[in-house]
Amino acid sequence: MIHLYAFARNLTTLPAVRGIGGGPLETLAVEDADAVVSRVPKSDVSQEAILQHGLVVEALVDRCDGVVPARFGERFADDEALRAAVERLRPSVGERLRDLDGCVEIAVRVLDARERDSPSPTDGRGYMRAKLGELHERDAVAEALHVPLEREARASIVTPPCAGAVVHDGAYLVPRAGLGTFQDRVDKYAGAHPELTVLCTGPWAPYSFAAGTEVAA
Amino acid sequence: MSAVANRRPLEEQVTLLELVDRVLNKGIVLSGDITLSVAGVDLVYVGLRVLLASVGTFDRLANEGAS
Amino acid sequence: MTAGAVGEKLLSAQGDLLGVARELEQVRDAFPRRVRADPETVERGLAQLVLTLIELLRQLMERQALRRMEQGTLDDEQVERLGQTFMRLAERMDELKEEFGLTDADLNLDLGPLGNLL
Repeated sequence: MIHLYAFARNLTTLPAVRGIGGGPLETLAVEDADAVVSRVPKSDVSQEAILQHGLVVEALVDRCDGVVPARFGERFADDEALRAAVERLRPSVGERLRDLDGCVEIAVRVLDARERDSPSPTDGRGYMRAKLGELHERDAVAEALHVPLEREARASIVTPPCAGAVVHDGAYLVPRAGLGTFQDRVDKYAGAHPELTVLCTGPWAPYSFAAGTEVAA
Repeated sequence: MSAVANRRPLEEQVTLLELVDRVLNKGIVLSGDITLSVAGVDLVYVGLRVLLASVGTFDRLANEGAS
Repeated sequence: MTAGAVGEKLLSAQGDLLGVARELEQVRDAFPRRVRADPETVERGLAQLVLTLIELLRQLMERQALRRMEQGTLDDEQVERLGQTFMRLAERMDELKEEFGLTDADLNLDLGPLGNLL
């Protein structure tokens, strides 16, 4: 099987990292981008494979002008199937490369790990109201962070937090030139909220902003 | 747990988890296998349809479907 | 790029990183992996796997319900029944964890599997 990692524009040379299962990385030219693939002996959805996929994509970022990451699990039976899919995706990939030009993805997560001293509800509605109240509280805290960050980003995706400690889970598409300002805003927010856990990672390849370039399963 | 585990500093482990979460953030359903091993011997291979999606992604997809 | 170099991607970190790791692991641990067990603890290993998935689904369902409640598409009786169910589910999860000697940390699982990727 052939596993697809990403499309890369103006890739200089392939990085020295191996593909899933240890096979070498290969490229298939697609107009002004290369599809980066490797051959895998069998279907492998282990955690090791998932991590390796990510490491390959990250290794590409500094070696080319732009990366459109493929989601994990895009696989093809043979060269023919790969070629056909890539042909079909060519316009979307081109479009996406233009949209993402010069940008990287920054991930910002905020957690509120504080113990909640709420009285235990006796009835169902009380429980639901309490849970909804918690959600709304978290929303307000997240807004205070998200609004200034959104201004520094070309695009953003906020994943709705579930009923855990997560207050905010955002992916931001930030132009490289604006990374400093973006980082400052995050740090400022963190400083203003020492009671919260704030995690900011990046720069990542723009996984969250590659919509429209997925191969139908 | 063996002595091999947790050798990495916490920051590194967290960043690796972030990477894995980004790679899988699209919400994919894949078939996969689980290997159950007892006393170091692989015994059972179980085929699974595993929902590979962050909790939030699934929720977002579900709501997009409903609207 | 090596797994070690990924550590450079940490731009800022404040607070309970262990808690963040556990939140992130909830998804990762639904994936196929080797479930290690020896004769004495094979049940525990299976329980750990199953309970992790149940907890994930419970959170998903609860949040879906809260969203519907927010949208106003549930009547009082539905909200009451949903709330009762989620409360019972949470209690049952605690009972099951106790039965198998598992803590919340066990369910979100150890950072071990990533350590094994060395």
